[in-house]
Amino acid sequence: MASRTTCGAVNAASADKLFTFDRTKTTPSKLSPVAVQFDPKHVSPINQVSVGRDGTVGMRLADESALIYSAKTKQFTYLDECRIHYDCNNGDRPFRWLDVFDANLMAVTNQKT
Amino acid sequence: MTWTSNGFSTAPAFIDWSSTGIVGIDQFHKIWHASSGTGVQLIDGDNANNSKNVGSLGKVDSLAVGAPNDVWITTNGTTFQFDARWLEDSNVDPWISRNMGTQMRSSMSESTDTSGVSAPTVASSAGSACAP
Repeated sequence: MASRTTCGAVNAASADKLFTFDRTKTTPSKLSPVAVQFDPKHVSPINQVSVGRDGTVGMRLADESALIYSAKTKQFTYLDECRIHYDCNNGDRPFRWLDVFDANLMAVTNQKT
Repeated sequence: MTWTSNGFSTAPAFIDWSSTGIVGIDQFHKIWHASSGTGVQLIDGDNANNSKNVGSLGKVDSLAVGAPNDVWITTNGTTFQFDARWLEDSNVDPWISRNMGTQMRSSMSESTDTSGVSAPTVASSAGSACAP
């Protein structure tokens, strides 16, 4: 959770949407959409989201890449498979999980199937 | 698994754990790993040789790391919180069962453990780090 008032969520029915939670809002919802800026090479459903202590949001995408959103700069950073995986471009090693502690500290797993 | 302390701006550190699954990391580079097979492992990112299994659990369905050593998991329909005393005394059970108030139990009866907290209402969502 980024702070006591914000966190991230994705919607299974709209897998390319990201929402931020603000408990101070009352209408229409405490969840507000974030305009996700996908790289044209990485428009892909968001399989999982992890929110760091500084508001950094990590999104694990279905195409094995990751998209990182900075709550501070409002900028998106794309992490290709080879930036984050061991033995990248091996389709036998799907992206399993992403955990974000903050903008710098993250961990990922991929697996050999 | 791989991990970074610079936002993946350079090649991440690689730890060959021979299994994969849900992962969580804290500011001291301690990595908690729920294998897609069984169990939870505590891995020292700076020295993977200092890694160890945390208890002897079956399949762990979810894992979340809050403050250092504040680790929560669910396994077999039950929620557990890590007991940090285990780090100093291996005779302590590392996992404390917590009654989250919404568990489905075969007996449909409430647990006598009242030390837990009430779970928030969780809407249907995929991979959410927080729910409305």
